[in-house]
Amino acid sequence: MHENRWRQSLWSAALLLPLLLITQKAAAHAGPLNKAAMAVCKDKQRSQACQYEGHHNDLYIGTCQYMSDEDLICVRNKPIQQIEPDPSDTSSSHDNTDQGTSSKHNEGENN
Amino acid sequence: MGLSKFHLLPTMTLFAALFVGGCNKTSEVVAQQDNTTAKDPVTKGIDISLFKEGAFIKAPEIVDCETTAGTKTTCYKLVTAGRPGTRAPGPFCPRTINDTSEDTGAWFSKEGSGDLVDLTGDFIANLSTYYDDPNWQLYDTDTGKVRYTATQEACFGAARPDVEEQYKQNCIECEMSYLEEDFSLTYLIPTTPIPADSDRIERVRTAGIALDGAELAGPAPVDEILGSYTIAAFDDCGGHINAHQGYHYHSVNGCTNIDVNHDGYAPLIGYAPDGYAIYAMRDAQGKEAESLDECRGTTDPIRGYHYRAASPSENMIIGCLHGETVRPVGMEGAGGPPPGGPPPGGEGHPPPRPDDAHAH
Repeated sequence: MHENRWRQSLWSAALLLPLLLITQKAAAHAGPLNKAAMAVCKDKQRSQACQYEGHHNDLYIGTCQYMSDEDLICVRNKPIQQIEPDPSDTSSSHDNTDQGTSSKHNEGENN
Repeated sequence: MGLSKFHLLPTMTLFAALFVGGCNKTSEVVAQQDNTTAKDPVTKGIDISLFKEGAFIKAPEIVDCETTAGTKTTCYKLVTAGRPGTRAPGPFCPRTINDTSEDTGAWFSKEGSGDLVDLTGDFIANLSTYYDDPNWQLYDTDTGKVRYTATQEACFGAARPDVEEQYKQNCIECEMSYLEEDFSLTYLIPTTPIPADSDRIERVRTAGIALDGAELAGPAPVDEILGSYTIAAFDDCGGHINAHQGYHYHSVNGCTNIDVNHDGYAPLIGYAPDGYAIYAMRDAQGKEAESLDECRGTTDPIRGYHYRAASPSENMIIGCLHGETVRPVGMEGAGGPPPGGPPPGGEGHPPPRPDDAHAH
């Protein structure tokens, strides 16, 4: 009886832990625009190197620059890099295309 | 909505970028350059002839000016009507949740990079899902009509960082007709760019002026906008209107492009307040520059120093100012009206659903 309860608890923990990690990771990706770019520069000085991970396993690399009198933001100065997806990271499905959005295309940009 | 600039100025004539007193010597511009202060022999500075017809409401002049670093030089004095000279802005917000992208504008992608997203009726209807926040409700669930700022009063009350309570849960849009009849913006930009000392690199309050005469604005205060449950709708060109900047761009979407050198390089889109050119993010092959400096600038033998714009949803056009700029009268730093601050009450407090709000 005691052993059964112990097994049940162990199974519950094993099931809940990944769920908890997934939820936390999804929440970290769910913030509005710019928050990740600002967070990585929170304890940095202007011009210090920075990088952060965006949606879809995008990696942004740049330096911290002032976007207001107090707040630094990571200004990308390299093309967006693709990083290898973490197979345990199910939050990569957090995708605006899932929600019926479509993008404006920059038809004229290369003209 | 350019909400970083919410201090009311006594006149609707704004000194948007770089207006300075004591500019007593003037001459009308015939696309001339003053290279006496140039440290970069290739960079030519602004070419007035590349601006589109209707960009200015007065003939550009060259005037004496002084940069924030104390360098005495000459500046272009550019006066605009605070609107794109070549087209009418809009459309912005959808009117119903059934409106398609043909009738509506755009907004930043939540990813913070890539193209803007279509601000369709469906997008408005699914904001709770998109932002993973059930408090979003920008439309009337009975009628499907989208709540938007349909009057001058609503526009001025909403198009600011401290969005008035009654205008939360609104799609924000303004019309040029809401501005004063004599609304204008005056830019003072060094005729020849002067590289700033590394300890005097300035932040971007305004990114400059587009080739159609509209302002290239600094970053929009997205956290405040979304924190007030508003969408500061752009048109498909990535711009919108407020009381202080008129129509201004927060995003580069190809609407002011000019292929200057016909060499496959990215098109020119405008000029920064320091006089350096800003080119689009991608070249004719769709490629980005591999390595830019911290301001998103680079140098080549044809163009000299110049910037490359960020992607449309990145909420910045350039990263900082490589060159010296001119201090606006009565304002600290360069680039325009004082920056805005967070709304009263700060972030993270979902506002109550306005009971008296109604869809227009």
